[in-house]
Amino acid sequence: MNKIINTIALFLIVLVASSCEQALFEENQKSSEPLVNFNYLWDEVDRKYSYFDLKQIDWDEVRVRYEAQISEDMSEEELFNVLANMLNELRDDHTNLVSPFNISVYNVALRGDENFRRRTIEEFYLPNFRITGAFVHDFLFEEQEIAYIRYGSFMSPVSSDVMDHLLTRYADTKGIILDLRSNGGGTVTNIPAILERFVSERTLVGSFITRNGRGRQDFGEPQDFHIGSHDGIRYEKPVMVLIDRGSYSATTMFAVATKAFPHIKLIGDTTGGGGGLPNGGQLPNGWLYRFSISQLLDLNGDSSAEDGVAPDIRASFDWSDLTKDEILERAVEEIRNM
Amino acid sequence: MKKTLIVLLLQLFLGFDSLYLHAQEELARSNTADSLGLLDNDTRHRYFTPSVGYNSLLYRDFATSPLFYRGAGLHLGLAWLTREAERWESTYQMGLNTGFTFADMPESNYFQGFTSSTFVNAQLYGHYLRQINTLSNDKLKIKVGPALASDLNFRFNGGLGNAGAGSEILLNLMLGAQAVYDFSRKESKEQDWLLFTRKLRPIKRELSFQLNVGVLNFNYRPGYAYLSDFEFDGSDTSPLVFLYGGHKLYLNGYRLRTHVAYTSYRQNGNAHSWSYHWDAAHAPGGYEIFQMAIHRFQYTLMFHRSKK
Repeated sequence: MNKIINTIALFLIVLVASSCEQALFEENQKSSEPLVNFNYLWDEVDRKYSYFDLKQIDWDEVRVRYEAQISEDMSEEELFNVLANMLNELRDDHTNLVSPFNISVYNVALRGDENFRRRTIEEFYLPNFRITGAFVHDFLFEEQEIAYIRYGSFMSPVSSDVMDHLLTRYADTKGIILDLRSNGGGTVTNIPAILERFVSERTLVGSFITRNGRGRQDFGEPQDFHIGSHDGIRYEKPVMVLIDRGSYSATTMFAVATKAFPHIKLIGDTTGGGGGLPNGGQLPNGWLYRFSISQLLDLNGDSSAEDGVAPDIRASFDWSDLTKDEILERAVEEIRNM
Repeated sequence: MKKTLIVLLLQLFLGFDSLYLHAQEELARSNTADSLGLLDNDTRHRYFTPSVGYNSLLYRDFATSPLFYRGAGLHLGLAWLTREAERWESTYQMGLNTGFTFADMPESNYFQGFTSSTFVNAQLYGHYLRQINTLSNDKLKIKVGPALASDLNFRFNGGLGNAGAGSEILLNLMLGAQAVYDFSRKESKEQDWLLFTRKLRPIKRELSFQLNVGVLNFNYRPGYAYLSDFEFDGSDTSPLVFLYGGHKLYLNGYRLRTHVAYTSYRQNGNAHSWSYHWDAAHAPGGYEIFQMAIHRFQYTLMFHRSKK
């Protein structure tokens, strides 16, 4: 009899313990209700988005306008369109709504001219180009006085060995052209991995501020953004960085950082922007989202890099003559005149 | 890699099994369970106790999602237990709980998606429990005392982009209470099953239940924006600040743990136990709540190291 009581007691203890957290935790908040998801997303953006002020966005007005489009019986696709359009009011390519059937994109690159044609470079300037790691590169002309290095994405890892190889090969040139056009960004740690090879001493290049409160202008203290100087092989002669509207996010941060170094010049079109660091989150219906939660400030404390970093020398690609890259030519001219 | 893991696990279980068989032989040579002093309550026993288990995991981090993530995984543990049966017991444990989880999202009648996350929990735990003699008797021992649990969680959810890597540290000073019911068979016994009889030999065995309640509950959780807010010092930036740059230490929330175990001892001093473990934590941090629960079915070997 005692054994039966013991067994029952054990069973009850296990049962109670196994369901305990259901009583302790807040209720499950999964929901496919359109209004629940709309309110959740609006509130997340309201609490954490970092560029309301710079972009003069009246987020309360946006809510009124888009909430009117929400109905209980709307389809998932209709809900997606409303939420995506609401996010695009932020005019920010770090903002996406990700559902199983579609991903929303603001696409800032389409709001400026295209200034990069890879085939022109490869066909008329680098017929025997090399590929080392993430870089496409070669000497530009027979004189071998200028090197061209293209880095197509900050998502691609940058190894120290690759940088050593490149800078050793081009050590005797007069200058390097670093092409970051149509580089949509990626990993921020790749910024110093490249830039520290062109810098002689650790330098303050800007700062970051991050939302830290419910108020739309609540930010924490500025956190310094330094670029160090690599201990090994460096290149401290002129560097021309080519940029355009497709140069976004980490590429914009790279562009802001170059402003602290007089021997590095930006040539081309204004970058696409994207100075904020995007977060990531999930709605009650399971869709994912992201948007900027911080600001990049330049050395003057200005956050306008979010809308793009202007070049030091403006130039644009002439699409009527595909045998020439006018931005590249302008960079060559700049190096030759130094 | 998978094959190696399976072979290792098999070896582990076969190892346990051979130990068990060995213990049965020892048992057969003895008529009473206390002939080797296993029922002696006055001596101090030390055990080394490796364990394996199956975890059922549940967590939710409101900073990135209102959804629960549920899944399953493995537990591996090592522990050292010292017990002076009539007076006190102390233990130091280290455990690794891993699992693969999926978001518990509503069903879609249009296009069902899913998101997944890996979960790793490294845990240190210790307690010192003293017996309450006024509440204890020959059959039932009640012990209470302080316990300390520290957890380091890592989660990776690729769908969350820059917020995909999550981590928090929980540190809980707890009050523990343990009830151990001794239902040892002290004499041989014969069971008559009509067609055959079965001789049951003496065995020391016990059923225990332990409840730990957090008294001081610390958690090291992200700041307001979840992503780190830190000084970016070029290539000299410590990789840790990407994860913990904005974290702060908070004193809030609660922690509960229960542990139900059936333990049977062998004549050579070793023992093994089957147990069910439940661990729930609620860590609000400064801004958004983190919650987790681990349900575990665990098998533990207790290697008897020494007796004083």
